[in-house]
Amino acid sequence: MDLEKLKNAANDPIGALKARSKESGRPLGLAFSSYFPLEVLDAFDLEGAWLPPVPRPDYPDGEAVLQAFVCNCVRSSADIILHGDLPVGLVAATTGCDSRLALATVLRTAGVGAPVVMLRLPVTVGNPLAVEQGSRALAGFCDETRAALGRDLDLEVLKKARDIREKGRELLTGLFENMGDGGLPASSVYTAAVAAQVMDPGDLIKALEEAPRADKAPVNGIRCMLSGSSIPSPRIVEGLEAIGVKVVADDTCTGTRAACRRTVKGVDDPVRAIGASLINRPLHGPTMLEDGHARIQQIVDTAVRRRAQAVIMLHYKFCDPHAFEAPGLTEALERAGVRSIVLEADREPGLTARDRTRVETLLEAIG
Amino acid sequence: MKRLKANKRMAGMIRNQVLYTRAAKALGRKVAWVTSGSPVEVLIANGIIPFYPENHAAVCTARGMATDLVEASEGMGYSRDLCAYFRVDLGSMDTGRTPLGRLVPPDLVLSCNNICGTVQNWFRVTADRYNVPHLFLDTPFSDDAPTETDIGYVRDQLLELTNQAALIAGRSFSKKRLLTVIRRSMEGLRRWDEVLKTAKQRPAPFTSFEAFVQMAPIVSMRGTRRTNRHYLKLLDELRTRRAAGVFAVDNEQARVVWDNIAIWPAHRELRKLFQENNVAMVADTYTGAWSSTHLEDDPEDPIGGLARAYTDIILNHGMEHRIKVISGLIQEYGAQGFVLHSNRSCKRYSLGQYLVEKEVTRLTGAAGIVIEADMADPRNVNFENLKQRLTPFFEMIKDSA
Ligand code: SF4
Ligand code: SF4
Repeated sequence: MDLEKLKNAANDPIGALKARSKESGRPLGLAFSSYFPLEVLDAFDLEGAWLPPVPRPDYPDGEAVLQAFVCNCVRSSADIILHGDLPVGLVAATTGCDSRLALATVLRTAGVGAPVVMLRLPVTVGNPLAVEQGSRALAGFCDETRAALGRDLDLEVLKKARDIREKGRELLTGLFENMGDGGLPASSVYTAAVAAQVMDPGDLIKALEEAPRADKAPVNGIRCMLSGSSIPSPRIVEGLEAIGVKVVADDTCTGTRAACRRTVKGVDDPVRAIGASLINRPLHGPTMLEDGHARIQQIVDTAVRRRAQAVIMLHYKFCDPHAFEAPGLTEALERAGVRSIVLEADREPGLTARDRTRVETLLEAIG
Repeated sequence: MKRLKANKRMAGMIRNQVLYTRAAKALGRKVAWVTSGSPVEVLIANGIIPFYPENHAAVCTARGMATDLVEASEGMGYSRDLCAYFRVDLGSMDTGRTPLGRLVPPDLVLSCNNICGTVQNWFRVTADRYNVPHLFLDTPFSDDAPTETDIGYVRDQLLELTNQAALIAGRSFSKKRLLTVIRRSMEGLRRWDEVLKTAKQRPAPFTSFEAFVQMAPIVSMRGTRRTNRHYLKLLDELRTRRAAGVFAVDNEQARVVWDNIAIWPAHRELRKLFQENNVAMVADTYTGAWSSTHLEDDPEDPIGGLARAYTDIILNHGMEHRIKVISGLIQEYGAQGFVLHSNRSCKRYSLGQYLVEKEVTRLTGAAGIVIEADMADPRNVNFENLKQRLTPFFEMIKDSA
């Protein structure tokens, strides 16, 4: 695996996006959520990417339009886009949480020099009405984008992009499956996952396929699972490894949740198939309402299967969906004999001193 | 202004609503805890009695119980950054403390995301706690108006939901009963709209401070005869007051429009501050959400009408829509200014208000101000700061009146 390329993209995602657009001559199609199928943006002749949160102390453009009580994913995205130095051709917003909704409508009202089109997904899963609505929602998104850009989606490009992006997701899923145990250390896996959000899909596959090799010795430590929103930077994982955490399982928006989607087979219309796959995916985030406690059970099962001794919930401050699930998840993990801790990420790229101490205390307690 | 007689009557109605749920339960009827934007008509038509935790949280806050209750929820691991209505309500569930005596536990809960994403999680927590079914209506967000596809999706869900409710209630669905309830709701909404519109008169006999209190029946007893009677009486009372020269604010000198939920922990002080400054808060986007709910009594397709009405709700639309609504209210009610309550508890309602302020001023010429507070968590409300921000604003708009 060409870790250098991945590292460069993960450490400077904005630089990587600029370079990618410059090289191809195409503007960027930027999405904010791993629920957004980037292949659709590729097929509209855009460089499709998920805009990752970029941790910084200040966001002058974002803070001018959004109050302080918003998660840093949304604050950072607003800031980057409103700053105006990225060549953006389309902003692909997605429903989900209230903050993400606000982001879409703020950007549109502020005027960002590019169309802002929203993919309005259902929030329920596990029922046929929602799957159908997912397909319709994506078709609606394509119609609006067509009208906004004045050009059509290229179906042939869509099919190719669908396959290549799916391959990328499969490779990433494989990395997460083996993370820590014989596979790469977590910091390298998360480097790949963050890079995957912004890299050209073909380049990503090449980088992932090139002779896999770890750039560092396997990490020894207490086996833990990481759960939560977007990983702001691989530095946070490096910080955890440095104090003796061996991350062996994942449930994050950047990681397995982004990588898990597989296109629904047996549906002729590729847009419908992709739309259905957004709702039919095996892992969902907490913005979706599932029957029973499927998501919590999945996290507990994964933690147990991967023999994790603790789950580190890495939540953004002001992220309501994750904050809602934390007490129930903590309880469910406790019942399964797995400890847990909630860390609140905000503007910092790495672990804060306070969080480091809290994790160290947890590790000591585990022994 | 002397207290409205309707306030006392309404307090009685809220107490009676709890007694009513107890009596209904004793008679074997089902009780549902529901969100304020839920299509309760389908429950009522099935003989299910609705109870509104949001309203209950507002009552707990107005009675000064919020701090203890939110702290109880935080003690259970829920973040201080979550909606305070949720935290108050959960605190009440956990401690059993409520100003309304003993609450009747739900047989089911019904939530609908037309007001925010919080409620889907809040009501799931409630359903888990009481081990009851959670019925959920997913209403797609839209910029300005729902599409026919959206309406179709909501209609399909509502059909399922109506059947589920009938099953839980042990009844069979009756279109006739549903239409009767819808018509009662429509009458209530019309009367509520008339009540709010009295504030167009100059000076205003009624302001949003009163509306925030008087909205309880339309939110939590919609579709009932007692609500409709209550608003008829309120309209009468307002007419009588006006004839006697009694107005909401003495010597009214300026008018403002309010955006967002009331600041319950400082409701009285703020009302006094507005009165002392001779400023009338003549309209708001919150209480008006119910008067602008367009129910239809389509005899062929009552469910379709409900789907349309409950999807087309102000909080289910984007900021452009809100800008239009506030600008429209400013014009309709002749306001010189508008106050945007940046409510830390409610992201759906609040995020992006800086832009709303700019745009509304650009469109209407009215002056705007964003004030930071919280509808229910007293720890996020500082009346002295609010006073310091609002007093010069009032002077400015009075000059421009
Ligand atoms: S889910 Fe949480 S972290 Fe993600 S955008 Fe919403 S509030 Fe932010
Ligand atoms: S206050 Fe806001 S977040 Fe809370 S329940 Fe109401 S609409 Fe939802």
